[in-house]
Amino acid sequence: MRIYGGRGRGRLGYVNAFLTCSNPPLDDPIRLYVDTGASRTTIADRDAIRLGINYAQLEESPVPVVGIGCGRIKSYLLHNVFLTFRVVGGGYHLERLPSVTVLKHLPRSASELAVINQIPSLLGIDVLEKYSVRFTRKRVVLEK
Amino acid sequence: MPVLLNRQKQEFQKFEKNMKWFHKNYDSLRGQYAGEYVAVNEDRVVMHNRDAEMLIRQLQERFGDIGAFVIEFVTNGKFDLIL
Repeated sequence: MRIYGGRGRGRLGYVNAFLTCSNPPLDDPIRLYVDTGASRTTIADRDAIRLGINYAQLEESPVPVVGIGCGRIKSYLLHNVFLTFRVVGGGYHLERLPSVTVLKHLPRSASELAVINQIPSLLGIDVLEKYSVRFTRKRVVLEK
Repeated sequence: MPVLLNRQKQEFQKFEKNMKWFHKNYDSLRGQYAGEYVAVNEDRVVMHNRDAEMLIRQLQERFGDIGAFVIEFVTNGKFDLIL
C-alpha cells in the first residue's frame, strides 16, 4: 500500500489527508508535513482556526510541547481522530489516532504571530512509524 | 469504522487540486501576493490578506464551508523551515 505526497516549502514532504473526529465534530481535509521529529501528529494554530476548532472544548495536554524555536505555547488534545489518505491505484486508507496534539501559541507581538501562522500541521512518528518513508525529486512516498 | 462519504470525497479531491494548483503557481503568486496569506479555490486566489485569522474569518463569512480551500503564506524571500 502506497501513499504519495508532494514536496512543499523548503523541499519538505507533505501528504494530504481527510481528518474526521466525532467530538468535537470535525470533517475537513488537511495538509500534513511529514515530520519524523514530531512525537505526535499535530494540528498547527492556523489549521485549528480553519477547521473551526474551539480550544475550550478540548482537554489541555498534561505533556508540554518542546520544539526548535519554541516560544510560549499551549497544547491541547483531540481524541479519536481518523486520518484518511488516498492510496495509489485507487481507494483510501484510514489511520485511527487515539489523540492528536492541537497547538495554541501565545504570541507576544504581531510579527511573532505572523511567523506562528506559517507553522504547518505535522504528520508525526505515531503514524510514520508504521510506514517506510522515502523521497523522490517531486514526491514523498509512504509505503507499507 | 468511518468511511468517507461522497461529499467528503469530493471535498478532499478539491482540496488536493487546490494544493496542486498553489504549488504549481507559487512563483507567479510571489510576484503578486508576497508577504500575504492567500486562499485558493477552483484554480484561483479567491481572497488574500496579511492577517491569517482575519482571512479565515472573512472566508467563512463569505463562503461558509471552506474545507476544500487551501490557505497558504506566500513568502517574500527564501527561508528554511526547521520543524
